[in-house]
Amino acid sequence: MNARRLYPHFFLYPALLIYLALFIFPTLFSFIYSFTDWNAYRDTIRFTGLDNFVKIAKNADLMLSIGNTVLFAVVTSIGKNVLGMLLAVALCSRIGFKRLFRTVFFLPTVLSFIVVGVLFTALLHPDGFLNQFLGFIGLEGLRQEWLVDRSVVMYTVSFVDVWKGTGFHMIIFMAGLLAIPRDYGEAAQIDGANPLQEFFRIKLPLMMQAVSVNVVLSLIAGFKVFEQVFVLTNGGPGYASSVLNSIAFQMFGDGRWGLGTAMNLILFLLITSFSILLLTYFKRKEVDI
Amino acid sequence: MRKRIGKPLLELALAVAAFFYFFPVLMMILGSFKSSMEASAFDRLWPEVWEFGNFRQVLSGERILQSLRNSVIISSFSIALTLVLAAVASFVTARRQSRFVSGVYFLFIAGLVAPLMYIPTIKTLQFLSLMNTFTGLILVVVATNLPFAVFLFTGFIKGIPRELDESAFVDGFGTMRIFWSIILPLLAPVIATQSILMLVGVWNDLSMPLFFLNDSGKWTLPMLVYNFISQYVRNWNLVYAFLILVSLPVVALFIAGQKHFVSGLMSGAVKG
Repeated sequence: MNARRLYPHFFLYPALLIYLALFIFPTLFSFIYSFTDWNAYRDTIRFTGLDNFVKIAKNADLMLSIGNTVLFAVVTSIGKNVLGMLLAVALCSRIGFKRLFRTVFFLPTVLSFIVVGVLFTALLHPDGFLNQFLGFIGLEGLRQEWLVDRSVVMYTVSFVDVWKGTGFHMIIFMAGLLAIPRDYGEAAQIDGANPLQEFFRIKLPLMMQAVSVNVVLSLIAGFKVFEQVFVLTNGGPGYASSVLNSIAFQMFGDGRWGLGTAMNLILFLLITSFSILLLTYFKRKEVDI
Repeated sequence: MRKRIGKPLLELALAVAAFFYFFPVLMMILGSFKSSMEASAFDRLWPEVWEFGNFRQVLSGERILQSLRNSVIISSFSIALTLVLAAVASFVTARRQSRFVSGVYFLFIAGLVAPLMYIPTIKTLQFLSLMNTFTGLILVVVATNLPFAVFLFTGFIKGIPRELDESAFVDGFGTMRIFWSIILPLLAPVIATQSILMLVGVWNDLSMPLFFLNDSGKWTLPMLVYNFISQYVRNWNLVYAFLILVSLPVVALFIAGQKHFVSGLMSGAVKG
């Protein structure tokens, strides 16, 4: 059969055209413009070599935003995956109300960040429910200015994102757990394995594919953080909770396009290098059932 | 023995966790039935007097219908275009092995990971005179959603036996007819998955309208929340009612199609 005639290349062109014009082209464009002084106030664009990156390295606020991005990606990935795994194991055991629990834990995933942002702004208000609850149970000492205190704000934003995102990872872990044949666990129990041994020695190795999908997806999403910060703190107080994308947004508003693009390029490099590292690491760990 | 005590304990622990998990949503639902004075006090969950007029008041706001229209236009066109383009392209990426095809497929897969470069994209849209237009925004949404759609559809089509195409070919079917009458109907499950996932993403999205639409008359429903808050800063009950209206379409769809949504997510993520 003639594959060339039956599956013509021109079927690819419409998708390719839009993708090249509005995704690939801007990406390549950014590799060049990160090394220029491109801005809103001059018509000419000059190559300035590594100037933008030197500027970023010397600016404490910008370096803080890079650190915050990595912190957010790591903290939320750990939170979402550990909690998601615990919930998945619980929901895959023999309990009642499974569907109700699954719906409750998954629901935040389908809410908009603006909704989540407004709700948690109210909850985390200095006189809001959280601080009142802490006072009520006698933990006055734990009360915080959750979104105002520089030292806690990044963890607060991460916490809110973990609340929103855990359900998604829970579902993927559940799929991984349900794919393991039941008799594997039964055989382990007959051999006298306790539930912890059964989980770490049998189930976890057999669901490495779900683990790798979850870790890679949560890290990529974590690096791309923008809306979470935008709706809760807008990067503040000061720069205490700014991240790479929120700075890029701000730089766009300020007309400092070259510098903003350089920040975006740093994000690009962070994401691609982490993904390649993780994917090669997990490739070696996966087991076929 | 351990199992008999363990089960109710686990159920109790999950119930407590679920209550705390659901608390913010509960606060929103109950808050939307409070009077404005009660809602801004932040101290009691349950409304003392139930106020059912909040939703009517929110719906009578002048710009809400316009924003709803904008949201519907942007979501429906971007989903439809993505589905058509991805289905057609994946038919070839799944079936044909040439250097060009594998190069194109690799390019799409790279887009699963790479972040969108906002400022150069704005400049590209300006160059094409598409900045601040629905068309421009829709095309960017399509471009950023194509990688996952092509990945999902290609994987699915690879699972459809090639013999189907071949026997149709022997019967004198051309490419178009094989695609329309054989492949496309079989794609129904992945079309459903892609549509639901994309609707959740596009409906709720803030960053794209924020970057690519600066005219607030074109804003989507979630973007209007900002306007609404500054207008009704002392009326948390109305803000909550508005948030519920913003979330309702997607949440209703999720509850109605939960089985489909969850199984789609599972197969998409784990088979990949």
